[in-house]
Amino acid sequence: MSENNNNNTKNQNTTKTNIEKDLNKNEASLRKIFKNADDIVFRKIEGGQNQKINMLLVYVDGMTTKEAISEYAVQNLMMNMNLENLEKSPDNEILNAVSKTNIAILEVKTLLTLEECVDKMLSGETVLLIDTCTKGIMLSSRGWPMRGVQEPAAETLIRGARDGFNETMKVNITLIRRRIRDPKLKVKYTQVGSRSKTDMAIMYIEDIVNKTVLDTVEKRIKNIDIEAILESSYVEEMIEDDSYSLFPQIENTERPDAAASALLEGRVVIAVDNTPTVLIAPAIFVSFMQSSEDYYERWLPSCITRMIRYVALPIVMLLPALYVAVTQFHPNMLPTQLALYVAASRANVPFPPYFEALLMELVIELVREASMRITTPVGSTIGLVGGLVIGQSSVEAGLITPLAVIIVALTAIASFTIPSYNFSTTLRMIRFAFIILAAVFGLFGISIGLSVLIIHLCTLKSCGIPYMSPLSSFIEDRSDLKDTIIRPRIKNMVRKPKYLQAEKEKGN
Amino acid sequence: MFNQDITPYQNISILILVSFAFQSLLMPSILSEIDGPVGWISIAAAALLLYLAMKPVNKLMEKHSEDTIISISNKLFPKFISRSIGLYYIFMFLISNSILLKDFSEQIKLMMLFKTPLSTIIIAILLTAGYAAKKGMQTIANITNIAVVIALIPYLLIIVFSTYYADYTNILPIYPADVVGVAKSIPFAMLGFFGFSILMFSNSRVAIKEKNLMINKRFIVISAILYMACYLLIVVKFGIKEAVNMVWPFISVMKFVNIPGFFFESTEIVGLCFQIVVTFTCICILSYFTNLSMQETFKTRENGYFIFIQIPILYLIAAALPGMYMMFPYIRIPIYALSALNFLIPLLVAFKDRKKGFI
Repeated sequence: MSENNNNNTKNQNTTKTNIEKDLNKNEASLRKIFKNADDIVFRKIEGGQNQKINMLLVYVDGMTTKEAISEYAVQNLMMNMNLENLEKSPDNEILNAVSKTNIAILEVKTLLTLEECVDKMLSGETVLLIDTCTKGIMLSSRGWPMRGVQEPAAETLIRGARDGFNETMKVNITLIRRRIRDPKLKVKYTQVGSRSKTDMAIMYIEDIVNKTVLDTVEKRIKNIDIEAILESSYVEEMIEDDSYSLFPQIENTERPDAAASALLEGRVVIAVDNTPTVLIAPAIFVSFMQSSEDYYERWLPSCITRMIRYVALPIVMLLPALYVAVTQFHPNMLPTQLALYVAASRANVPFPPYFEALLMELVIELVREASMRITTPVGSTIGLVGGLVIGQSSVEAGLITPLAVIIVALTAIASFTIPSYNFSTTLRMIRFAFIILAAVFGLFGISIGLSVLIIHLCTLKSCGIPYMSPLSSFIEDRSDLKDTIIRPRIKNMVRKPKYLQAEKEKGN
Repeated sequence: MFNQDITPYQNISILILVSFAFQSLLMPSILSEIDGPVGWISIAAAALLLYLAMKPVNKLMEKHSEDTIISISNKLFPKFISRSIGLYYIFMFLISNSILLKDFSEQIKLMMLFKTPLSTIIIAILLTAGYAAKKGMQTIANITNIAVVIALIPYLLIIVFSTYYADYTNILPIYPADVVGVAKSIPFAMLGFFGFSILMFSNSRVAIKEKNLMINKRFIVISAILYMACYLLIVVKFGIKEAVNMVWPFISVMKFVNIPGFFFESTEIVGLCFQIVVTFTCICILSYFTNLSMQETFKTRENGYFIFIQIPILYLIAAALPGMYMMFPYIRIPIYALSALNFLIPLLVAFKDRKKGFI
């Protein structure tokens, strides 16, 4: 990573301090930089057979594998270093000799400035400075406590791999590499955040990816000007086409198989250090309706499951609004018996249908938010208590109708069928707008709302790719339709999605 | 990928959708102009005329693949004539759009929102359409394709279910046909192919021109089939005697839809919801092409801000116009004029171009 990670010139300090020949001066400069940082360890050693060469090892406590440095670097430097001739005329030659013959660590790199030394130390590397040398050596020693490879809590499957990304970017890259053993899978490292200097990796398959999309992603990442990246959502927000839109334009996943699948489609994967969530670009509307499991189960049941998800989509967005529109504006649409039942059940309810729907939706959102903020066992209890007790009591108290409870509960259940959490959240939010439109204009309001929604979705792009592809060009891209509402057989999915304009497909 | 061009199939969707909206608007005229259930002959004749006209028009478009009818006129005619052609298209689009808007708003008021003032409905539609028209050609094309999938196809399917109690003998007698009536109603039928006028502008925005020429012809054929099918459906459902009195035959058809297992009582409201999306998309398309003709006529760079000029004009015209059913007695001459000009202007331009040998 160290070779390429300084692409983001914007975030780099412009002043450079050369490493001095005098080790004490270098130590003083580093101590000044790290003033009041007690976790920085300065270890002075004397190397060479005659112990005449002064050296300084500097590292951040807790971010390095001490055993590796002790065993493969310090021990050799102190005990086995044979530099008799060089000891008489010490200069940068020592450094070369040391790095070539006395350090048994795989990854070493020459450092020219103190700023480089500081950057490497803060990334978990150990820096070795030698008296009389105007260069330093980076000894690869990254190592910190990390979470193991576990199943992602938000994307659990019945069938499929149980491994998930964790907070270490290199582990995440490894998990993807294990699935795609192709030399054409490229990983480009970069660093973002003037203070956080967060490592990022842009991954793609060279002969598949659309070069325009890749360039767009790289350019946008390069243009990120921010102090710190604490989660991949920061990157997501800064590289998406329209950050004012409610709809996510970059997909995210914690599953290596989903990321690998996206790479194989010709998309770009962005892994960000310190977060288990990997970003996938471009993302289109239909990709948020797909789950990894669709491809792991038998195709026909998966096909039906996916269709059910598409049935759930209008339910999530429109059902409460339809309830409001039909009961308030168009009761003549209902069959007579149902219309009579609705009229009878609403007789003692003091609120109009729109208020009833808004109130219940608000309660559901409150319960959902509360259950997310507390520990899992209590959270599920809160969900149950909230759902059952509040719903039941409200009906008994005559505040709302049983039909409203059924509709709100059905809407809440339908929202859980949407595989992408952030997409589902967006649909839930839109629901409130539809309720208000239905309260004002009835079905006409819903139709107008839908039209505005379609206009907005048709305007959106993700890294230049129309968000509504392939539906917005369904005749040209009809071959892509087979993996939208239905899931075709694997053997019918040999071609890359046309809307992505993958390089290999262009040649075909 | 990053440009504003559309694909040939997106273009055909635009043309078919616009034509369908106008066909439903003009259907009562076709039904009432002819004595007998032979309006489909007018439609076929109009389609044939347009199909024949497509040959010189296609040649013209092949030559000037990046130009609209107005910019071609600018090259071929003196400024006064080309400016007049531009103004005609602006005027024609504005009038057509406002008629559609008014008729559509009245349907909504009558079927859905009895208490809401008509002006509120018109403003709501105009503001939403303005938002779309400002977004550019690709957005319009994307919207149209989505509208075809989620609204036009379900809408047509609902109509198909109305044939449940249809009497197919209603399409008879074909002979003796009311020849004068058929001839008189051809201009009405021609105006139902409104996509022909849109084509003069949309062709310049299509990315793959070669395919487009073939698709332009296909548009006439598909639109004609759709037009005739809808006409015949209304005739077999109601019989010509009843059908001539209908103001909105498509809505009347939907009252008698029989879909197995469908529990809603008023299917016309469900159908109207789909029609809202279809007609609304059509209004967006017309607004966009009015913008385009304005910028071509006044030679400004492409921008969507002309929509802010359009909105008050459309509102005022729509508010001033009487309902479509009230206009029927007076509408014949304007429709003849519009039909003739829409048909002849492209032919005139094509003829002039051929004569001038302009490349």
